[in-house]
Amino acid sequence: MIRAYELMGRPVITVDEGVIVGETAGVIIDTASTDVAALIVNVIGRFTPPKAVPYALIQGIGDDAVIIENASSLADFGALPEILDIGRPDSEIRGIKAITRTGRLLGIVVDLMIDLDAGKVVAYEVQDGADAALLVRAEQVITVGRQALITTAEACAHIAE
Amino acid sequence: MFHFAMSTVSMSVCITLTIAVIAHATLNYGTPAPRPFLIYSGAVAAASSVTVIGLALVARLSITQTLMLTMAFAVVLALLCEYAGVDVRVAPVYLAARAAGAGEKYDRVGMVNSVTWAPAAISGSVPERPDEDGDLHTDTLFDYARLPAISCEECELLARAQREGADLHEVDRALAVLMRLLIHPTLARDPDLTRYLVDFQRRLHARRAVLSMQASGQGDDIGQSAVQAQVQARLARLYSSLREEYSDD
Repeated sequence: MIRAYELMGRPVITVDEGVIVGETAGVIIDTASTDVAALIVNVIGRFTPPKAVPYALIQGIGDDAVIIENASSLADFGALPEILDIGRPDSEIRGIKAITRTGRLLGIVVDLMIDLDAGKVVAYEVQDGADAALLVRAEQVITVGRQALITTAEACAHIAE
Repeated sequence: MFHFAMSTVSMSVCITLTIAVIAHATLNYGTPAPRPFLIYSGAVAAASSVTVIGLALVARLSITQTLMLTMAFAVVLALLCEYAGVDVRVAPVYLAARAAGAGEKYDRVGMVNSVTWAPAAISGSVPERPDEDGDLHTDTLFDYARLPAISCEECELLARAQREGADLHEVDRALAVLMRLLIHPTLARDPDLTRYLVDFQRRLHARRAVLSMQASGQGDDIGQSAVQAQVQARLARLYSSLREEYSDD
């Protein structure tokens, strides 16, 4: 399990040609299924827009690099607008409010915990003011909206205690 | 003097960043702004301002002239970096690779944990090698044509792209179709289909690499059979190395 923020800035290398094509800049999450749909890559060349690599075309994510199939695995957002229909970048999920179904504010989503083996978000890290962060499991999340993450009432059960 | 210098630097940074954000939003509507691009724009503007201020003080230029000169300097610096291939973002990777004795090219990927990929070659559902005529089993693709995500025209395009005689444009279009299928929320949840599509993408990319080499004039004398042989050689090398890695695991 890894924090989505920790994935950023790793060099992306193709296994086919052994070429560094860019560096990771985030992930796109399918908010309906909590699957990681794609990885956002800032390609080499400052004036080139970022691209996306479908998760299926990623061979491995290690501490030092991310290995993808080949240079053709990088898709333009412009040529592939569907990618923003199915999911949302992690940067847009960070900063939204986490609220229970019963209307209790848990805090602000600060990060996502990702299981790289399964390619799924397993938990959301929620910061409650200055206190320690709270982990909300993905099963406890009802909706990941544009302005709020709605959780079940049980997500704050331990806080009430 | 200090006030003049600071205001010039901050104004240059603000103007450059505003231009960068507007240009990015116009050219790439709906895509997230690349953070290194913004950092780079700001850093270049600041560095240019500091450099030009010294010149402005000596030449006694006005604020407007200084700002114009700064912009021009930033553009020239950016173009120089771009065309010289200088990229500070990947420089640490090269340095780390050299320090580790990996040579000039960063091609050592042995430290990476391959955890997310299941090789198509070990699955019974995907042909390990193409048929004798070099084609994949396209029936599988046409089976999936009933899904709303893929039309019959796209299936035909995919089938055409892998045959001998397909041109670079067709292969590019087929790759674009494959990418769309690979991010489709329904199709991506079918592991067998995903494995099949990944394998298909790998083969098409190998074909594309050979065709683009041909198009760039590096392989003018390569005939169709030689293209096919080169594609097979690339794939054989890739599958061979992947199989070794998984047998180690």
